[in-house]
Amino acid sequence: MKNVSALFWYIRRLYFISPMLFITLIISSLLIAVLPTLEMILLKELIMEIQHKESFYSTLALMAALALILILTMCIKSISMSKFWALEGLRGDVVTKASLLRLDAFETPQLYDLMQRVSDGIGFRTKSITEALLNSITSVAAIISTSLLLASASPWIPVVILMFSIPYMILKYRHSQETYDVEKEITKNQRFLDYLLKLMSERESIKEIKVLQGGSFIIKKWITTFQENKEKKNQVLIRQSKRAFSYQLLTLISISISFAILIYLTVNDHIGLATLIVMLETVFLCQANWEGSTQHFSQLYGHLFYAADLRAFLSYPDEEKQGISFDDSRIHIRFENVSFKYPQSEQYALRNVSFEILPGEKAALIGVNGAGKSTLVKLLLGIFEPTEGTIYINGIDLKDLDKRTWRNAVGVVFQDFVRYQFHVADNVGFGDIEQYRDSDRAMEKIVQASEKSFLDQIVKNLPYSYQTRLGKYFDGGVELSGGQWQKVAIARAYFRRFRFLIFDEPTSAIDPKSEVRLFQNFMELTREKSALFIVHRLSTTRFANRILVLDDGRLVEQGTFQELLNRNGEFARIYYAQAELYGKEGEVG
Amino acid sequence: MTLKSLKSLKSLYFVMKAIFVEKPLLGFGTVAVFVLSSAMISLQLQSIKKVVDALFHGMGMNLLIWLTVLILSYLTLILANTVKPLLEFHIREWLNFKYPLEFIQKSLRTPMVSFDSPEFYDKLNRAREDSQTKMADLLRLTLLMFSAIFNVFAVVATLIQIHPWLIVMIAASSFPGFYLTIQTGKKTHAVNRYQTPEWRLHYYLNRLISTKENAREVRVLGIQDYLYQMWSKLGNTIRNQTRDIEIQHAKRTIFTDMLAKGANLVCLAILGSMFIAGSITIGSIALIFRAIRYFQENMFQFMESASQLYTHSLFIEDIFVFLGTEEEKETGRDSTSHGASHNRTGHGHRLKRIETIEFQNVSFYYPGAATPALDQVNFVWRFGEKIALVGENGAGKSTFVHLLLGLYKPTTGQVRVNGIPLEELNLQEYYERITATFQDFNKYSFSFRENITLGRKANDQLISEIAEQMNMSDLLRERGLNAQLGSEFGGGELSGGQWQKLAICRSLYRQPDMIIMDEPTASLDPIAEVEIFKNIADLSDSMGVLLISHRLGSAKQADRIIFLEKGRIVEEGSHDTLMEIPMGKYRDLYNIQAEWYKEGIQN
Repeated sequence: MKNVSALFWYIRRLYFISPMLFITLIISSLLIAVLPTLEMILLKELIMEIQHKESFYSTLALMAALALILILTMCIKSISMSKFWALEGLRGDVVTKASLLRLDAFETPQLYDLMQRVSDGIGFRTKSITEALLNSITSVAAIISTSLLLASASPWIPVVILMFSIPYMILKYRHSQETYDVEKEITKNQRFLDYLLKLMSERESIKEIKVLQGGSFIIKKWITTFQENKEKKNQVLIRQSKRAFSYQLLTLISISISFAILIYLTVNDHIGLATLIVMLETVFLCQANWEGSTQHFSQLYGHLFYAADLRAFLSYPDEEKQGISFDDSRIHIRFENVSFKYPQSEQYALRNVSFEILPGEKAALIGVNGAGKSTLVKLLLGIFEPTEGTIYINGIDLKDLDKRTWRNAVGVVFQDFVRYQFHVADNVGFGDIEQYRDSDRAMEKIVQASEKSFLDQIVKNLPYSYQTRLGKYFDGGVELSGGQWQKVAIARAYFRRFRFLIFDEPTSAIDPKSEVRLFQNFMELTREKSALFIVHRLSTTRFANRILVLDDGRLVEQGTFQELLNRNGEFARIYYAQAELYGKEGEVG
Repeated sequence: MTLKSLKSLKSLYFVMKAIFVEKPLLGFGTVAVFVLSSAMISLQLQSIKKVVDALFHGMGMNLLIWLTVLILSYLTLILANTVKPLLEFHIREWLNFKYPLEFIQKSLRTPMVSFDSPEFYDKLNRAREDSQTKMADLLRLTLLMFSAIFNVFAVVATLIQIHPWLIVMIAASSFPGFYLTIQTGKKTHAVNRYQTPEWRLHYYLNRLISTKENAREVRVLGIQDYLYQMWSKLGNTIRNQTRDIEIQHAKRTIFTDMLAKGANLVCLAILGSMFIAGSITIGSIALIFRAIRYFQENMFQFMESASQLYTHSLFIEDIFVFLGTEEEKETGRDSTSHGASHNRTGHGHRLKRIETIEFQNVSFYYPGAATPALDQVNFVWRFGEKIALVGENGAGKSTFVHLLLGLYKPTTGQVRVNGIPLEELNLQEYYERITATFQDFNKYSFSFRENITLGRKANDQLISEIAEQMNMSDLLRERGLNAQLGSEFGGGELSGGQWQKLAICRSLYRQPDMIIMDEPTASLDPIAEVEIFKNIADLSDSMGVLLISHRLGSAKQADRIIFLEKGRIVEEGSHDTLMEIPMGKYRDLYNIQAEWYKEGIQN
């Protein structure tokens, strides 16, 4: 039932994309269905005229006219179909929706899966549903018109054909029910096969596989999965063949009975010769339409779950746009007893965290892997809301703030920042899209940001300077190393007119010399602004006004560099472990 | 037809040949079934005529005989139709097996340097997609086409008995349509190919907007609207191109169909006059109606499948182009084809243990680059020696590693292993002795155990020992060796640092003579890093270690430090030696890092 309502929802949606085209499509589908029957009727007239050895050219002309109409209808249908798709209404809806979705949606597995399913199917599936829908309409109309024609000879014929079609429909329905689960399994295996093929053909992965000699293992895995899948498909197919065989037997019987009726009628002079010939053809036609309609309906049924997915996805709530706007000239952040659990997780990722970042302060966040550093950043950006406690920005609860205004004020470099496969200027300009598009001095600002992040030294060696495409995804792109990409990401953050800056391990792949200078620039650029940076190399935290030490979701220590060293706690432990690497003999020479 | 189209038919020929040579029973069996079912159609038509004639010329034995024939032929047809999909399935699965497998093996044999070229990469990706879907389509279309041809022959054989001109008439009307359909097919392919970069950009933009990896940053930066506009503008361009072709096709269909219908009418006229003249029977008319329908259905099917087949064979060509890419002679021994029949072996130099790896005046230029990525490098690495490779981003460290592993071939100079030039060695044997953990290591969606063994014989004892060394015992206990990893296929996810440790475990499990670590600890926390380096230090007695790291505190522990700058080795020696070079680059860099920690301790 859910699927049926999804179908109606889907039809309404199609209608609204373009009412004109949609109605044209429906009408032409109906016309196409009825015309072959009309053709049969005319044929009968024609044969009768031949039989009476009269001139039959007027009927011939009529048939020519009919043929022309038929062809025109088909053309109208295919043209309006392509125009209809050119509107791309649904695809646009899906991508728009994706861009409006609340960010935590991407962190919720079910919704994320739903979105992947929806956007994977958007071209092919929507087209299939619509085609199946129109074809179903056509075949139903064709069944009705051919049955009416047959009934004019004998009402028993359509009844016989109907009776033998019902078992087929039941068989077909049961078949799609039974194979649904197997098909799902097959699809999953297929995806895994694709994944393995991808591993074997991507630049980054093939390198390791070659050196570690994993090739034969992956090939073996591919073969096993393939065979397993083949076996499953084989089972489905054999079942299907058995059913197809019994169906064709049924068809044979129903056609034979229909023929017997027709022959009986002819022999007893109830119908003429012309009618006999035409009716023989119509029996085939009617039979084929029954088969077709079952086919189309089962296709439609099979695709409906997609319509249901689409509907569920499009009705997911958008990110709230309203909220209190605020003065962002000074940023004051306060966490008050903030605790957080990920959706569907039992464990707290953060527990009772309280701290403050005053305007103009630089805070460093440290802790081992999995201590909750990235979670804290996600909360601060409003991607998730705290399970308990409150985050205040300039004294206002972050929940009530206008998220866009808040994010506009923040510059971020994520640990897994995006490597945009566009040219350098785009890569930097994306940091502040308004400034990039609207300001005359955008390019100047980009160059400035690049100087501060030492990106300019890389750009110097690129063939088209700031217009060089980065990354290997497109032809002519130049791939950068990990450290070089990091500089791009930092330049992007610097280009933004931020009030508050978040750096999540921005220099892990950058050589030490650049790193020091980068941090000096960082301090200079954020002089009057607040900032939060996450680092693994504790030497960098000397710059911070305040160091926050996270351990297992709790804030265990906080204070300045000296305070924490004197305290001899967790921070000091990690610090000395690292310092040991530069050992006793590490004197400056 | 042009030379190009002939070439694409050649690839179709390759596929067919493969079927008949390697699976003759299946291939010929399928042909037999298709011929049989066409023959049955012809028989069916004949018997319809006889039955109708018998009906009007008194009943009797004739009617009974032909009715039996009619029913029998129909039954045979049903059987044949049941067997057809089964046969088709087995051939299709066989093709789907054969070509992706050849694709993988080819990909393994292709020299690494090819992967840096976008054209090659494009070709590879196209071939990958095509090897799966297009092959199956190709088969389906070929079968459709041939069954249509057989059926047309069967109908022609029947019709020709009545009047030869009928055939000429119907056939003549079909050919223009056939030609037009092929033309459209050609155009579609041209557009597809022409659009590849645009399609990719379109797809890429969609991914930027709607995948997890990108969503967070894109939203925080607020560029989703901008990207969306780009996406929809590009989409319009692409669709307009496709739509134009479709509309053109629709227009052509009008013309084609009118020809067909016209021919139909002419046939009717001929029939009518023949009947009036009394030269054909009423049974023939019944037969002709059925026959014309069959003829046109099959002719249409033939045209459709032939034209699609033509389009597809253009795509298939991509696979053969890829499979036929020369595995350059010089890199021929680069063949890492596991279990493939074309496995080439080295020159018989058996590699027992790596004692030394040596660079002799090695320079390397990336294809098309004007400046060398490595410039006149001389270097020796002995068994048991621990070396650190340091230098700024882009100094050539990764290139150095690629050359060391034989993934790239030096432009000039030579890499020697135990004194033997690397190209004379079998790389398979070489990789038994040397492994690497790359900066962009793989995260396999396999089980925990498989992630470590990756095809080596599983030794759970060894796995737990190595896990112990890497401080992964807790994780291992918690998840278990059989746990599926990677969320893509429903397994558990690991953090970046955990994946990284796992990648190092994978290398260590191979118990190599030499191990290369390209920034193995970038996403590990400081404590983990310190511990791992200590463990690597313990291991280094039994193996050579080459470490790339930015953290000079770790590099310092090496026996020898190599400082690369702009593709040249500018400093080389132990930590102490390098620290004594006045104004030395290493010393400079080390001091910058050490100073930060020193200050903290002093105060």
